[in-house]
Amino acid sequence: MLKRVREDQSKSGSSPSDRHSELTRFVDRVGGLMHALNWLKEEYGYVDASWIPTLADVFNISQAEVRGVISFYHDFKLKPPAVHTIKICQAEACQSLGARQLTKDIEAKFGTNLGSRTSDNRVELEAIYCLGLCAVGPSVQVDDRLIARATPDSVSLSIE
Amino acid sequence: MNLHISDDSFARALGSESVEFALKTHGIEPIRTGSFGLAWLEPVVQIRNSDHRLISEFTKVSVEDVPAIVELLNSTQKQGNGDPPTSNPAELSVSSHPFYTKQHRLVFDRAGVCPPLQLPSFTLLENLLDQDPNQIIAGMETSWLRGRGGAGFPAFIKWRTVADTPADQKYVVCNADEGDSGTFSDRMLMEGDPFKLIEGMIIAGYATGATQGFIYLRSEYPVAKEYLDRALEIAYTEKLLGKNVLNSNFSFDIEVLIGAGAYICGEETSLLESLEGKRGQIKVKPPVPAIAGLFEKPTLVHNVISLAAVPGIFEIGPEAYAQLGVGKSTGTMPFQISGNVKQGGLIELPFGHTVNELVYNYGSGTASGRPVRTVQIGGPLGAYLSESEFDTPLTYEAMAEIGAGIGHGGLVVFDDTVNLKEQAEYAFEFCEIESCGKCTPCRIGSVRGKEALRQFSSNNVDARTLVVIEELCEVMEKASLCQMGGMTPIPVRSAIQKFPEDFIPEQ
Repeated sequence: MLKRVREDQSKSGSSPSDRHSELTRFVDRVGGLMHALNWLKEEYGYVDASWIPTLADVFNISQAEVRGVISFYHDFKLKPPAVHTIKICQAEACQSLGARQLTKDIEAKFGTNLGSRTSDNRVELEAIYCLGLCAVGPSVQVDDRLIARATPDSVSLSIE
Repeated sequence: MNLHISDDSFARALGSESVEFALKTHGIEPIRTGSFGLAWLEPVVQIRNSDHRLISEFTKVSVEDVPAIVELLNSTQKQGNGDPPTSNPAELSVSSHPFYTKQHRLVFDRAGVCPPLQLPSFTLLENLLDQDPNQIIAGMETSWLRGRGGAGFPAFIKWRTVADTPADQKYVVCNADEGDSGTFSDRMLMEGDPFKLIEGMIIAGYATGATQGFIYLRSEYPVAKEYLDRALEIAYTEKLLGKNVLNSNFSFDIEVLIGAGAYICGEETSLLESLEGKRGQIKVKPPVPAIAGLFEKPTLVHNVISLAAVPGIFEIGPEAYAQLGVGKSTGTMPFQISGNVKQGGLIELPFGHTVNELVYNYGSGTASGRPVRTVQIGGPLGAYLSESEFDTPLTYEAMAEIGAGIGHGGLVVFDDTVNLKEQAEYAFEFCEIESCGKCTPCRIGSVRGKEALRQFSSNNVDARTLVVIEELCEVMEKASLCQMGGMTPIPVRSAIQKFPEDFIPEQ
């Protein structure tokens, strides 16, 4: 479960040494940096840029390399997420069941576009490519919840 | 009397958790089982007696059905254990539905039938751990299992290469980065029978001399992660993993690493880079991973279904396995039918059945009730088939003959409202989004292709642009390092060639 921390990570109380000790447990693991970034994502919903020097230090690589890894993967974001994230599947199986129209309807319902968020920061819409629910599409993920045969109503209900 | 409720991503996405919650408020603690793969009937609730015999079944269950389920459970409980089924409110029982009974399940034999975390018998594994590893590899050769992830490369060649390459450390890596739209067999296996995968990995490790296994799981599959984590925990407690597997001299560990939403990490060299904690960028082959893979060590990379097929091969015997299917397409394949289809789900069959059979006999036509116009087979890099090709048998050879591929076994059905020009444009767009950026044809060709098509409306693409598209396709096909750029031309060309009326004005 994602622990959504609202506070600004860059100003949060954890000292550099606290951060070091949080990350050292990943160092000896295969794919340690991926584990560490996934942990930050789970814990805070994003990777705050203020962690980058510590990550570079702990894994003994350059900050550029850390940024390179973060920017490669869709899941690692440098910006805090909105209160709710709606991921709408854009892939073929869902397209065949009206995902293009569903996307337009959800965009209209929440007044924002795919890849953007509402001005009150309540909802952001994201594209996702396959949730593995292709036999019961179109599929949407709202925060941690999977929704099959999604409609604009079922999606907005799951937020309320 | 026990109450079983299916618990996989299909069931959860269709509301099984609310049903389970409602049952609990009635004091009933349901047993969670995997899905049988009849996705359109989920969530499924079954009443079984203490001998595990099916008494009654409910499909497409919602919270409103809970009082009726509770009532039936109470009345059957009063009647005792041995009585025949009292009533069956389901439209058709899942386990007696022809969609299920006509299948030939080897990989998915336990899925749905047994609770996913129930420890199966490991007599087979114990016997195999007593055999000479070379004998197991010889068995793999006899079976002629081909990689189920997409490439269809004979598995034993990789096994033998890893086994024959001297090294102080070897690895087995399970590719669980199932990113193709229209595929979900890996997910269903991990959620429905995770021990099958663990068993397959142990056999592969023993045969090749690898002592460390990794499962690279995509982040879009949180339910699979839940089941894998718990199954691995049980496996360690039961000494199925760790030092001296089942008291043999062989030791084997498995660790899970979660991906981060990059489709390209399904490509093996990219996956290994990601597993090392780096950008998932493609690497030039050779050397192949079987010689120099993870940390430059010999690494056996297989997808989930390839590894999960291994126990079944030795269960029925490699010769018997090779008898299934057609020619060099041996054994069974868990096909997945999805998209605009009435009865979507998992269909495990020997190779050789036709697309028609899957779409009409199993899938029962479109969900919309409109005519089927095309089927895309093999994921986003797979071909769009025209109706005249639907009688093609599903074998590696027959599919290659029509310029298509089975890929990971996904068939996505589209009705006659589909616009193939839009689909071709999307194929380029998907390549643009997911390209790792290493090769120019893939990185830039995809953008160019999308833009070229986008400037025209459907049925109105000018002839010169189609020439440009074809040239782009040729460059992408020939000059990309991996299949991402190399195979994007397949959906594009098949759309243009088989459905020209969606691109150019009719003459």
